[in-house]
Amino acid sequence: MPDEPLGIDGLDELDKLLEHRVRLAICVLLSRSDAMTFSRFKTLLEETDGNLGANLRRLEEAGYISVDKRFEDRKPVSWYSLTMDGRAALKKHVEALEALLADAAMENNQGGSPS
Amino acid sequence: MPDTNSLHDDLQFVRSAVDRSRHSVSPAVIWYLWAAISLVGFTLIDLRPQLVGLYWLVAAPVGFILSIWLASRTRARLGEINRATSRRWFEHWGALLVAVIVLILAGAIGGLDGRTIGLGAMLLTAVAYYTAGIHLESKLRWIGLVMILAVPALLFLQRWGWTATGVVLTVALLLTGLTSAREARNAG
Repeated sequence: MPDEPLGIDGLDELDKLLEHRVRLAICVLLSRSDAMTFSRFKTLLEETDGNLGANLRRLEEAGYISVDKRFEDRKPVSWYSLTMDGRAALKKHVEALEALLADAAMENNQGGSPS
Repeated sequence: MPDTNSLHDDLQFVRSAVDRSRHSVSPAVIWYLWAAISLVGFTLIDLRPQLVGLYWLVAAPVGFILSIWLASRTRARLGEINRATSRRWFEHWGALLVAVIVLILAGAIGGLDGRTIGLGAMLLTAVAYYTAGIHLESKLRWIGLVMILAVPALLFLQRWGWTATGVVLTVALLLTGLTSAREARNAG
């Protein structure tokens, strides 16, 4: 695929938080499940503890995810869920991505370069 | 400004994570449980046919409840809760349980003979496993096929037919359990 910048139309519709792929992946995974733990995210995303923790905190601070901290087998376990705000933000971000990619594909087919 | 290559890479990253989450499998211990229940239950048909109805009236619901508990505990240890998936499994196997109990009770009130009940329960269970393979976990199709093939064999086998079927089914369930265990290890 050619290394071309996407057109600026529609870029404003993208959610700044979800432009980061780890945060986007976290929200997509939570949209498919009711809740997930930190260790499950680590397995699925193959990220370091530090990087994963920082991204989860950003999402929590934005109100996109909620965390339920429990003790299981005498160990602390954090369960994360997507909030209504998070679900709405994800939906809006995905729709914006779909529109951007559709525009880029159309411009490629027409042989023009995006502005 | 994002470019198409970096966007493609990011979306591929998300897709890989989603694909990994799809590879969650049923806990091996559930298939070992039903292997043990089936081996005893099928052998009883040839050895002590008068106990078979009572055995399945107890073992099937107990096995069902234990399976729910084991699945729930495994999902919690895995770190993922998905109520929609759990509900699908519950409804699928719950429907089979109810159907088999109705069949056994029909025999108890004298409506059907033991052989008919046994063959009917086999066919119901075979279809349940095969459709579970379509909608829940693909490797369960094989158990359904084994059971469907066993039904005509049972019509011709005079002695120890049910025990033989039980052994074949037990092996199929054990293999399913071993496959689940291996897939779970590979998924990390």
